[in-house]
Amino acid sequence: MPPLPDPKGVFLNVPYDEEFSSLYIAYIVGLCQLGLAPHLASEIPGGDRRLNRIIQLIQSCRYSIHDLSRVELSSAAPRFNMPLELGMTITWQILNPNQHTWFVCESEPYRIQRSASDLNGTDPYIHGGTVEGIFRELCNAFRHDRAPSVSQMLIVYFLVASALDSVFQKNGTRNPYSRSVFLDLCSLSVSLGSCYLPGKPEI
Amino acid sequence: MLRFADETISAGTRIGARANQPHKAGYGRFDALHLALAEAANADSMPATDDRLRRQVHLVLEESAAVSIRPNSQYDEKGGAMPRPVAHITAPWPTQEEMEKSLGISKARKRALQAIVDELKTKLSNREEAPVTTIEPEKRRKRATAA
Repeated sequence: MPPLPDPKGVFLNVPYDEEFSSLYIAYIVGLCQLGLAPHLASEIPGGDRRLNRIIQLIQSCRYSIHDLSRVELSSAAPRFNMPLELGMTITWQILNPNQHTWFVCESEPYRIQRSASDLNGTDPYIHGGTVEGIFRELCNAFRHDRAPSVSQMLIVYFLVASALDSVFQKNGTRNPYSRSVFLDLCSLSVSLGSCYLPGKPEI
Repeated sequence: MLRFADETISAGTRIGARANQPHKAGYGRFDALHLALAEAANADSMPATDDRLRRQVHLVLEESAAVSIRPNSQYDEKGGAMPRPVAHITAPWPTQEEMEKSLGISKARKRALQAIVDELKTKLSNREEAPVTTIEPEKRRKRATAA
């Protein structure tokens, strides 16, 4: 039997491509600012099969976010990874209804009705492909009386994004989705987020 | 959505007869009855996830039918939307240490990042008015670059 999930854990199911990187950083910053801990499949070390690692991660997180905004054709092949991981999550949630909640995000309204019509009846969160939209929709999905404002999140986002080159240099890679860069981005978001802890006045 | 429901319609003979029309045209008994009830209630609209039902209902019912079938996604919370999953977080706000533990951030990693954090905190405290702008969507940015 799997252990109880981390109540702050959020499994992030996003496309790992360069064009998505600004939105990926926005997810990390936004979730950390909301007191939640994002997790990526690439973060788990070990030689276990990738699918097993993903299942373990889904089981260990109380929430998951599935961004289906880039399921279109790329390099002549459709991208099935995000819907596949969403399907695994839905199964886990049905078997354990009190242990997991999943959210679907999209950039365009009504597109999901065409790309994954089985999801009809569950409205996705539409972020419009913008950083601001990601923060807005995260605040809509994760409600906390003392959550920081979208403008506060944007300030932290700009700061973290401005440090990206330094983080790349420190880790010897320019891949934002690598484990080390992901953890550094989380660490920066948490450290800067503490400047905006609830109850503290806006700087 | 049920919070917004304040009227109950009972199915009588007249509604049953009306429901027979879409049922004879191939709709399930409950879909047909649902439509007839919505029409009898003078409903402005009726949410449905069934694409076929939405597309073809007006071919079956007379033109005077007042029911407009819309996809659920056209409803927002103000208008009585189909609910989206929402997490109401009531747990106490985590401390920085609790967050770092959840994220698996080691002390060594934190130490190695300290110089960058200090630099960013200085930027944060020295900043003038918040540079809050709407960031262009990826697609618009790409189009602009291509142009």
